[in-house]
Amino acid sequence: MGRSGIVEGPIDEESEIRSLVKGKTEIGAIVTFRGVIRETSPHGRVKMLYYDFYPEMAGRVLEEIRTEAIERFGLVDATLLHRVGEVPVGETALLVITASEHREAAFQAAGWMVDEVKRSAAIWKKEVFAEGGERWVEEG
Amino acid sequence: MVRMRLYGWIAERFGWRERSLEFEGTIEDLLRSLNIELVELVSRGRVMVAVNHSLERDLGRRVSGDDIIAVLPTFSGG
Repeated sequence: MGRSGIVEGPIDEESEIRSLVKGKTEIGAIVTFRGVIRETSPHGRVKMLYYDFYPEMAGRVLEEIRTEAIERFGLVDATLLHRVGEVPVGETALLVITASEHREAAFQAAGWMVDEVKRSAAIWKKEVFAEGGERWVEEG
Repeated sequence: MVRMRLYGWIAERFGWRERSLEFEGTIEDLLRSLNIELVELVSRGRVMVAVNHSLERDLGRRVSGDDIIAVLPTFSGG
């Protein structure tokens, strides 16, 4: 089944998909989005991102986003995981999986969920540069 | 004892993450007692305040006792 939450280590996408679809034969479309740490930044070559988070708020909001997406887009199920702490370049920081009977709902829901995480989850990221130094990312 | 928490760049700038202190009054008074700059950052929209894990926009709200007050930079997850 789908789930939401804060994760402190690597995210196993295939395992999450298997868990989400198990026994749900009505699923006709699965969309996955992985937010991956990229090396490039206008401020230098990134080695990793460090994510800080407010445990009581971030976990609750991720579940609210997941349940609202299921209701709003008529999904069969969804998973929403955000990794925190140190996340090296190339690894996944955000995983969204949406499953629906038809593809349109799954595509729309995945985009909406990513936007909502950025807008309302109490999580903050800091770029850590390969040549030394670091910088908190400010958005909004 | 109210508990104050700071997150993200705010925690780094002020050099601490959590403190407990005897206090009874408004959120604005609490922020001013810690650092005058915090009130300005909130008014400029760069920082938000949460009370007991929910965002609170009214700095005139009174806090005391077991309240947990968190100072939050603009979110940047994802």
